[in-house]
Amino acid sequence: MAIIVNLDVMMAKQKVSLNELSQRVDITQANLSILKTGKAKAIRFSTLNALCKELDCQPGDILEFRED
Amino acid sequence: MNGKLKIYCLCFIIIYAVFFAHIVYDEGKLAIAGFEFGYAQSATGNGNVHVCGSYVEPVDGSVTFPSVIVNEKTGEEVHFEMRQILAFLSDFPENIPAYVKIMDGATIILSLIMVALFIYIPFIGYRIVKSVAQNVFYSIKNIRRIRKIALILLMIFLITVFINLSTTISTNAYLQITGYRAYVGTFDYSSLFTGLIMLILSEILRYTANIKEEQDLTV
Repeated sequence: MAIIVNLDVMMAKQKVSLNELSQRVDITQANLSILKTGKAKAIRFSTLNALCKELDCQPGDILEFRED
Repeated sequence: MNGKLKIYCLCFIIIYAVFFAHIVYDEGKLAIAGFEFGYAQSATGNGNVHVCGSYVEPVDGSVTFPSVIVNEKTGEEVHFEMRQILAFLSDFPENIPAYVKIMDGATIILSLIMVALFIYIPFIGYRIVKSVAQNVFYSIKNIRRIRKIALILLMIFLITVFINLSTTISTNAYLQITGYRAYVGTFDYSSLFTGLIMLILSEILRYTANIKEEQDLTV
């Protein structure tokens, strides 16, 4: 897909684990893993909002458009 | 398993068993009688016989009642017309076209294929019910199974159409009954309609499964 999820990069920058982040943003680990591995088909604004807040970043830091 | 599903499955099993038993009983009698007769004929060395089965209609049109029988209850003559015939021929024209003989052979092979398809459908149905019982509703496999049943039903319809046409052509080649001609008659459209409905249903389910997958992968 042309949209790349850079959640793993942001998590590494913030030195936060999947388990810790899932507790902080109140999303199951399974769903966060789907997002992290790029299997997700859509992301809710509320999820994006929570992630940006916890990782202290902009939506553009998590999502990136790359030409196929 | 869901209570309603249990009831539907039970109804399906009963109806299908009755339907299949009826077919086996009805056609089995003919098959056994034909086999016994053929066996007896082969012993006498005269195995060159042919059985024609077809719809027929009066040459002058339907409801012209060209035949006459005696009503044994009143002794009076009653006019009637035949709708279907099953004729046994021990003597028939020598110059039967080759394509008629090929169609006769194809009819036998297609009839056996049709029986095999009728036996195969409940197995697919069983797999669907089994996966639904395990709470797997919208799987691609199930949708493919429904699609497969639909295609089998459409195939069965096409086979019945071919058999109908073939027996009509064959009867016209072997037999000429005074005042009647063999004709195609009516097709059994139930398998066509059911097949098409199931095909539409499988497409709707595919769409639903896609929506569900999208929903499941929305974080």
